[in-house]
Amino acid sequence: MSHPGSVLKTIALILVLAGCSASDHPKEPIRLRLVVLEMDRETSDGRLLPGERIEAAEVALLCPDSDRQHLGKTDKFGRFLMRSDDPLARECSLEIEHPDYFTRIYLLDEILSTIGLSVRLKPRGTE
Amino acid sequence: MRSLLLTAVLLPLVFTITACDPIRNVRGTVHAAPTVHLEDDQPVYEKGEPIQGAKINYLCGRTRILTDEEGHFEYEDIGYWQPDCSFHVSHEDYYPQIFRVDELCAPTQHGNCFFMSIQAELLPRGPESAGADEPSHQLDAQTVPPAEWPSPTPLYRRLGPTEYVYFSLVAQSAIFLSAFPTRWTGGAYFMGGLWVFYGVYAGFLPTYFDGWQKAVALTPALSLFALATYNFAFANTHSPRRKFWTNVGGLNVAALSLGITVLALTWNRDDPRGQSDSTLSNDLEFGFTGTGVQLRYRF
Repeated sequence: MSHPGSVLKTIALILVLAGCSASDHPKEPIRLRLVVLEMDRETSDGRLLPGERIEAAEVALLCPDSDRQHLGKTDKFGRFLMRSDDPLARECSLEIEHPDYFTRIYLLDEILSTIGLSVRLKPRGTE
Repeated sequence: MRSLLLTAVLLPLVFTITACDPIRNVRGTVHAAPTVHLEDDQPVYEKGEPIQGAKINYLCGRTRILTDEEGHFEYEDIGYWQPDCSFHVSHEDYYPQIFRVDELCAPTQHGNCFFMSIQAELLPRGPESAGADEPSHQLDAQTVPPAEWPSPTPLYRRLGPTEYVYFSLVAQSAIFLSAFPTRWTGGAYFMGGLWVFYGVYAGFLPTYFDGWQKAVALTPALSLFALATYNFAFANTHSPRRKFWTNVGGLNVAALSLGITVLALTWNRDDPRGQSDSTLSNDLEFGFTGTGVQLRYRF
């Protein structure tokens, strides 16, 4: 019978190689929780004006080789929940858009390690 | 030895039976609020400078975390983040912010939260505001009801193959290390193999398989480990004590394989799409970061 250490080492090696070969798979399912708010502002007398929650901000997915995909809108508390087992390419971007605010885009690769994302938009006309 | 068995074997088994994942994690970044300018009529958010030394306080406990020079922070321990609680992010040169747990955390077992990600963008204080300490309460308004996922996970699906595998591996590792106090090399090989195996399971199988397919695909691999276990056992038959404990470990692996098969047959039976609840994998993968095995987080 083979030495048990050799057997285990061989198995471990096979598994390591299998894991390494699979580790760079480009697509993953996604689940994301967003809260969309306007940016905080400071008044001239040094007080903080907390940003309001933004209702009906549109959340869309932008991918290099496909059309813009509308995912949904935030609720009246500025929240958006996305749960999809369809894999998304890491090179896609998440776009948060509202007519009263400047659009903000997050590269999916940057936020894939994030479940909850607090998105802050700058109101138009304040630049 | 008794305390080892108690803490390393019985506790994980209790966690398994009660479907309680004990590891919680919070991580994220703290930056200054971004500036916005237009380029070709397109808005560009210039990311603010990372804030070193920002304090992240969990308001329902004693967790205190400081950011590093890149504005990063990470912390994990045993427990869960209470959904009705908040994290307070502050720095003396910036206005603080509060982040509600239930708004930014994906609830898992029993609605509790085990992983929090906080991406804070703090507004710099002007000279007039020095000393003031009013937080922005955008994410802490009590009038905001908890958000529900579009398709909440039924309770019976919250104890799945992934959790079963995870806690069984912990238990088996402890059993083997306790069974071979003079054969640490062999025990370490076995334990290391199990961790590597789990790495493959977490990182490889979910990519190509889903739900019951994943569990079925897992069974042959587990059987292989059961075989390796018995191989190890036959090589150490001179000591009755070793044989006993090794067989306990081997039977444990065999039971694990059987359990996975049973779960595979009943998993997602009511779900025509055959979706898996990937939340389970998420928590477990983060749990492994505490052991030094860095696994990529996936949604």
